[in-house]
Amino acid sequence: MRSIVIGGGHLAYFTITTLREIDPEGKIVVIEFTSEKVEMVKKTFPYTETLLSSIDKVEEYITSNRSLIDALVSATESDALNLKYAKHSIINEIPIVITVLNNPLNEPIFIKEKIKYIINPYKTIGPKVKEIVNKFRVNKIYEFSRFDGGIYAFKIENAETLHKIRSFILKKDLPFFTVSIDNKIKSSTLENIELGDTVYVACSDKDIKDLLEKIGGEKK
Amino acid sequence: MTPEEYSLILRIVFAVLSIILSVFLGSKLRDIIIENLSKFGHAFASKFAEILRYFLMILGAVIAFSILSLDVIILTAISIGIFIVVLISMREIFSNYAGEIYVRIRRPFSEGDFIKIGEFTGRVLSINSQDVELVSIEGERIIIPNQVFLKHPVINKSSTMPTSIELKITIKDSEPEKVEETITEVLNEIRPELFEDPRITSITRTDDKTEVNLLLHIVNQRKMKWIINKLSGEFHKKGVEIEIE
Repeated sequence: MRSIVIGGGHLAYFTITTLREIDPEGKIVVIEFTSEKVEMVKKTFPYTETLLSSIDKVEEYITSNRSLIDALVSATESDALNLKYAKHSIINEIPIVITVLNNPLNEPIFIKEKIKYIINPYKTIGPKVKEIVNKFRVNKIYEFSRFDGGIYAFKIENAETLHKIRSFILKKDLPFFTVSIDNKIKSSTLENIELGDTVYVACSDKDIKDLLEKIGGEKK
Repeated sequence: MTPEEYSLILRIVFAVLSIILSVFLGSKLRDIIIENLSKFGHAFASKFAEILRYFLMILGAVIAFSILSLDVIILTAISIGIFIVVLISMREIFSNYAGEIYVRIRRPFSEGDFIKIGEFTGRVLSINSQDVELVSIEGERIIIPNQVFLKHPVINKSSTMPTSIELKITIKDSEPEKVEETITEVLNEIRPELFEDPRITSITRTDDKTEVNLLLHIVNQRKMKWIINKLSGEFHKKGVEIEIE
């Protein structure tokens, strides 16, 4: 698979490493704007093809190689450039266009511009803090990238929540597992859920909306 | 009170009840529709619910007039006539609404996807009640009436699933024992462009030729032409003449 990574900073570092991991035989082309970073990328990732380009020439490169590029990741240190390149890639029918955010507050702009795959590296901070401190009612542990859904954690604090979670899982026939108060993973039966447990449920955002309203949990 | 007066009062009461019932049912139906169709977009659900509400109200009014009128047949005929004229004069608009319902419910694509419909290709900017707005590679804005989506197949090019391609390569005047080795070497040259390792599914040898079936997985379907050219070029470099189907 031919992947193009635009940018040579730390966002690109993790992107290149992952692309190499998922397709060790694939071709990775890194486009950077400064010669120092290009040299650094060459040394760090000798298996990549590295291009030194001016900011304005990247779009030209995408257009001229559009029939060969399978995936493009815009991971520069500027969200404005990331948006510009992602939009240009979509127009040029690149099958997979991913952008990595620098500032999480810019996410709505990317959504508004119909960029489908947005990686917000800061999104895990909230759920992680909640999980570590272990104080939450509802926590969106994982967000699926290809459709609107995720894995939600519910802390069973009272009998009413327990009843509602059980009914919800039963009604929607959802996959779930439970972690007990002493951090042991329990077998997945509805009868085994007890007060103090944390229930992890995989479901679509649409399904979860009604439940959150019913149990009065925070919507993340 | 004469029987005629009594009958008139009764008809007025029933006519008023008919209008009240249609307004009540229309409002209830609107709420139910908005609640159930909001997953397809709130604006779409509201609009659809409003159309049905007005339809019920008009129906209630027609029934009320029918109850009041002495000549029900004439009134019904006029109503049907008006309905048919409206339907014919606005058939394009209704057809576009039907197209919108199809696009919203079937979801062949969503905003941001890259699609091909008929001779037009572009990224979907917005899905509206009457049309879908695309922007082409050249940056032109293309407005496609929704009814077109009912009549023509849509190709959604935004899918990220790799496509499996089967290729049949016929190698003439080859040494059978070297064929597999040559193919493996050539496939290694194109491997970085593929989604995963290519597979030789079969090798059939006849008197003067060898037929090799390959299975390749690619993400960007436009890469196919490049791959065929590359395969031909690589075989040619090794002095092997081939035919690809």
